[in-house]
Amino acid sequence: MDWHLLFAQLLNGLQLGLLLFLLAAGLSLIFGIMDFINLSHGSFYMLGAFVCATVAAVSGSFFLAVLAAAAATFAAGALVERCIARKLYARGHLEQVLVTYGLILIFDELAHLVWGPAGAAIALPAALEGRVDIGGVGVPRYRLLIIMCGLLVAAGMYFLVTRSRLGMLIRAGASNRAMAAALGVNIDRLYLLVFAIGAALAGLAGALIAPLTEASIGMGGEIIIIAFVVVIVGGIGSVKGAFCAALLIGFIDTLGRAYLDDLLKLFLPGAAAETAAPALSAMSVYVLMACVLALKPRGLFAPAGAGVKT
Amino acid sequence: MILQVQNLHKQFGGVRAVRGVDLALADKQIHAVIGPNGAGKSTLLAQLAGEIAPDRGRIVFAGRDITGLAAHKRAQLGLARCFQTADVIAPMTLLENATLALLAAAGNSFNCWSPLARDADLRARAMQLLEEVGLAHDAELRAGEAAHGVRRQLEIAMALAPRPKLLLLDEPMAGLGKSESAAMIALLKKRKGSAAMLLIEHDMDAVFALADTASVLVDGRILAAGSTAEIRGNAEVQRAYLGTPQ
Amino acid sequence: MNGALRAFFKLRPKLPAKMFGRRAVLPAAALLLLAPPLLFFTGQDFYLDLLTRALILAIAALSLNLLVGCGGMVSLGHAAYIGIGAYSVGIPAHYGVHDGALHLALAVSLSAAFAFLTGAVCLRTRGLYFILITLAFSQMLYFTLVSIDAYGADDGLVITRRSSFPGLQLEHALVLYYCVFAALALFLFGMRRLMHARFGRVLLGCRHNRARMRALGFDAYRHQLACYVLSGAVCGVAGFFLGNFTDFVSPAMLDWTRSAELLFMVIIGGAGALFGPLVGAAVFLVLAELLSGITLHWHLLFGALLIALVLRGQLFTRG
Repeated sequence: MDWHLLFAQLLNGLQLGLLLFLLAAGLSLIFGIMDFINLSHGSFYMLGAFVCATVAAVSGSFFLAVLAAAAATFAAGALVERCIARKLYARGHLEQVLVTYGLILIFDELAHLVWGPAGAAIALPAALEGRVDIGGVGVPRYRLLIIMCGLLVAAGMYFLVTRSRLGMLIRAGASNRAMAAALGVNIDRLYLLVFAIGAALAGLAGALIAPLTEASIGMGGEIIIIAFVVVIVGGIGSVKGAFCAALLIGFIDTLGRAYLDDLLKLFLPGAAAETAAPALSAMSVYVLMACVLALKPRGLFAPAGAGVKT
Repeated sequence: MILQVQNLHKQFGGVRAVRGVDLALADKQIHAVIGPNGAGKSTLLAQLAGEIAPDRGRIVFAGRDITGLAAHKRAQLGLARCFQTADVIAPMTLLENATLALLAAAGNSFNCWSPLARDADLRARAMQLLEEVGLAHDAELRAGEAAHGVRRQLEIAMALAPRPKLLLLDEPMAGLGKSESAAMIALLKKRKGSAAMLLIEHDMDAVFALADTASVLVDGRILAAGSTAEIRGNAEVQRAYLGTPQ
Repeated sequence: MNGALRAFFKLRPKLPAKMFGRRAVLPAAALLLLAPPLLFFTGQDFYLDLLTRALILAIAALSLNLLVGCGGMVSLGHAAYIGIGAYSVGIPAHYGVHDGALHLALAVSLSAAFAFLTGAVCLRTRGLYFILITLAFSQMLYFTLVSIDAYGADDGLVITRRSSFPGLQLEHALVLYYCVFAALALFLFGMRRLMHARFGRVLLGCRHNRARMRALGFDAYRHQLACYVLSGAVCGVAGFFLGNFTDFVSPAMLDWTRSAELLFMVIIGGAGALFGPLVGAAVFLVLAELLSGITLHWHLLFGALLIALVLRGQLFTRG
């Protein structure tokens, strides 16, 4: 076994996991606190990537571009919450599904109109290119930056949710909305803030990934489904759950893609393994989800009372 | 004994809702559980009905340990229950509600072909059921549009439809006016002797009119148990719950 | 067009299931029976195709209506069964097997099996979880098909010869149309029986008050799972027809946006209304045609329309 390769794959898994966490943390809070099923969360991810690409191209500063992406998605999230989402909290999930599906169509078409059908690539600043040597393995500098950012945000979210007053309100809201309202919390502002922060985190994720994959129109739809799985596995409304599940799924997905065919070749003839491995690794994350749900239908760390409306 | 409960526990997060409850209920008897709000009465009932799994303890119903049994299986064994909110199927008429209640015992609920409304036998029995609780004239009324008192009576009729051995009642008098309460007491009295009942109730007049025995639940624990007369005379109970004697 | 739309939505809440169910049935059935030969022999292939597609989508929407309308289970993964049905034609055809009975049997049994396996997990959950998990399982199938190069991966498979039945040439547009029509009529009839039979009534009870039904002694889980499997199997038939109709299968058929479109059809026709899915499928296709005639970016208009309709509460009639 190539240990260097394994190490590189583990880092890739960590990177994917942290990226998923950025998406899932906000999503999980929006699902849990507002009981709002937001299918269009991936649009903020896409928006972040495009804004980052544009600002980076115009200003030449990648750092500024990332900040701009987070700010723009924060604003977009606040706008969507104010104008649309707020009116739907008291309605059924079905209505929320239809509206947020409509939002996806609008965001995708708008991106198409503004940025055109082709993607937008971002050139990395020279300082972030190249590799750092860690234990004999050359790790791309930029990947390290993503990992650092992800860990930093995770630590920030942990602090925010467990230590701050806002976090106390969020936790109260996630487990018992009526009680949070009774405590005299300004629920409207809390919801606005949670939604906008969630959108900004998604935008940040999009901005960070854009230099690796380039900004494109379908990018939100691809990753958001996995982010949903993360939220389900972690338990709706739980940031801790989102973190654990995101890392777990990041590792499983990355390692599955890298090693499943080798593993299968131990049992199957080479050609069959070559065919079956991609299909099985595509399914692995969902199989994990099914297993978790079979044992714990509310996910690993669900706060009581979140995510059930008849 | 139709029902025996031993050392039942339930904890929600940090809140210990039910802690070490023992109960015994004889055949055809009515046992009341009284206690202040938040004492754990509804949690206790939900555990008996199988909607909430207890953390610890044992529930024996008609000689069978049902502690881990699903709610619908308990119902099939003859354990019926009424909810605090008079839970009926709102968009259906009273008659359709009653028919559904009979269907559970009649079986073959997977039939996709024969129209249920044309089952004359079932319809007649459902009508009979409504008559027994005095609702026959409202048979075609939608349950969602019926008055609260009517829905309560309907729910009791539905719960009694399969001739259960034990009926769990969660505050049947709540939200009823004076005359409605009297009618409800009369209805339950009439059914006394056909099924045992476990009654959670705040209305002390109803408790003393109906129950043979009673337990006082405070902070998830049984404070006192005995005949209703004993409970009424128990000084500790009066201090904790009943206030001054009426 | 705007005026017509507005009139439709103003009227729709006042025309619940009964109107779609009674007076309009005979004229609508006559139209659907007689119009196709007219279209075919006058060379209006475009409209015949549109009509065929509408009826196929109506079958799929009907199966989803069984789930949403009768069972109260909001699934966002129903396109998976369209995919299963379509690949049940595409994969055997890829190997040169064109036996229609086999295709149909595969479509129904594989759909039912997938519904049983995923439904057994999904139905352990409620609300938000249920929607997300149905979505996740359908995407699992999507990504799995995308990753199988042998079946064309992203590009899918071209079906060079349609399913063949003894005495039936699905290659002929009219024959295919009447097969679809017959299937839809059959399913509508079956659905009507089901809704009024014990199973339908118990499902309705579970939809509105699951706790009450369980307390009455009904095994809500088993009834809902049966409904889920039945719905999947019917949708598999829609997929079988769609594969034959488009002569092509690809993972795009089971993308979750297809599922969202099906939900839209069910809702716009009125959830639980017998003929709602037919109306919904027709409205959706006509809307798509009209809007895409206005601009290339018609999704923008469709999305805005969808949001406006839901926010103004015009899509949902209660009770």
